Amino acid sequence: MDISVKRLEHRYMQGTPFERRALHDVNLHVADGTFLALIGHTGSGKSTLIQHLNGLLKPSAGSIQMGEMVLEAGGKKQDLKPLRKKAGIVFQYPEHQLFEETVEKDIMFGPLNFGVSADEAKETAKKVIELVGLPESVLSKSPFDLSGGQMRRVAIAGVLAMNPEVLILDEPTAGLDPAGRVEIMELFYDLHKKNNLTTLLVTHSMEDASKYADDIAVMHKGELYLHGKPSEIFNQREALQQAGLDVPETVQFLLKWNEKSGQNLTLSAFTIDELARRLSESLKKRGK
Amino acid sequence: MENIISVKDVTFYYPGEESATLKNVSLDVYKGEWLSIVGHNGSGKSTLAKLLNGLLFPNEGTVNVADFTTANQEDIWEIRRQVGMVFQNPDNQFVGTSVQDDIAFGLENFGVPRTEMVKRIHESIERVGMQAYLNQEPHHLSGGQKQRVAIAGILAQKPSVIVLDEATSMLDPIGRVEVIETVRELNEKEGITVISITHDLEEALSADRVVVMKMGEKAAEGKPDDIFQQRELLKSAGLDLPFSLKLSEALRQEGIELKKGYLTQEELVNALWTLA
Repeated sequence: MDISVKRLEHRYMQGTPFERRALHDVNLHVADGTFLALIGHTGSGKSTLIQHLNGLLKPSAGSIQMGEMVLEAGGKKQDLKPLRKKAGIVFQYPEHQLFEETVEKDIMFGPLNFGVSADEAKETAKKVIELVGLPESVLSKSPFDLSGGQMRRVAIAGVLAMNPEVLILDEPTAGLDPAGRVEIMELFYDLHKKNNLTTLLVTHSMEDASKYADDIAVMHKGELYLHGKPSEIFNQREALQQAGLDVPETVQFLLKWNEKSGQNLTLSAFTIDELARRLSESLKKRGK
Repeated sequence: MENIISVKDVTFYYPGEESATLKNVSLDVYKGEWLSIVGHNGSGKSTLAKLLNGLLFPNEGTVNVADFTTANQEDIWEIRRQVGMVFQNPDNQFVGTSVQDDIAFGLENFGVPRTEMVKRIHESIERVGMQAYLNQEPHHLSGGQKQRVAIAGILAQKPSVIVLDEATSMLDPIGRVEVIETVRELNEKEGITVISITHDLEEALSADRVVVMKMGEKAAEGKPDDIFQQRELLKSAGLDLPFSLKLSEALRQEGIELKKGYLTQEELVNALWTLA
């Protein structure tokens, strides 16, 4: 689904003494099928922006187009259900939102709300629980008897059960152990490819942003500060540092290596294997 | 080395749970060290932390802090004064309506007289570099700043140990560095013992010692150099290898002959340079 954000502005508590401008003149186009990473330090406007994408927040000015649907400042009230079905948000610490007696009921809750039959919702629950790497036996358990990592997966399964076209992920791996973090990110990346999703990932991890994203949008002080391919974004260390961010570890290493060796390797290796390949090529060339 | 905390043969069950969250854990924490505790989600790290200052009590075994023990009801307040905890979520531990009220809160609980209180508030806020924010309200602060205020609140009690329970995991990269640097200075300059429960392997790399928790047991304990070479142990404990070690390994597979796995980027860059 194409996403188009035009001149978006958001003011919290508008018309009160506490009014605060959280977004200003944000213009962003995300083409169907793109994996976009949204980065920026705390308070930069990332979360405010994504909450507009399924109508949780309304623009104070400007507009958002999600597929066919347009949400604009001062626009008429419209039925947001179709949009919310298509754009699934995985919030931070989504396991805090589990509430049902069993995992199965929790996952079925969304689909049932959108008018799916109970039988069909049950089938869906089976499918998505497998998708997130949990055994079917978990379905009959209480979500609160599961470990933190398992609860996170159940909560994600609940979003996937809606079969969304757009997946919006707000720091989905925060608080997970390193192994769990990799598993969850690989899960989302596989889904993104397999189901041809449009994915927006809000993250503090420059490594995840560089590794998975096609495009990166950098937010700073409520504005869109940079937007481009990972190789373009991570070539601008100074600009990133000014926005309270930095380059990923692979690029930090390349910068250190270039400085030590006087070489000028391009700063575009974003996985460890790619970095190793580039370094060994350059070493072997020198050896000859 | 002198112990500041001794955990002996501790087993702990949460009420209603059949299996123990901690099984027969023993641990010495040395005065003035930086000890990192790592492990998978549910390995018992945070439970262990809460046993250290009497927020939880062992079903079996003992937890001693200096000359005090959590088994002794009269010792609890002294133990909580000596062992300060910084928790994960900066928003859940801010109780005052301004920075100075927040620091005063803890002191009031300990019945510190007002003149002494004012002195301690100013002292501790300076030690975390937040003196310019004394009258600010919490919502004007960043996550990293809130955590520094939490640390100031602890410092005002004149503690001997600070426990960071994933205190940087909800912060952005800058906030993370801010908090770690603040604590490092307290550790190095003032000799405050630091116990850091963390998923951040790069942070654990710079600890004096590392403890690996796995399924409620202590799986390993040692210097980062030794712990982080044990690939299988780390994998089985839900952890990953630090960046420079992974890169060392990938370079070896490319046929680059490195003598060992290097822990830091600097060491690895230098090792590669000598090959070039």
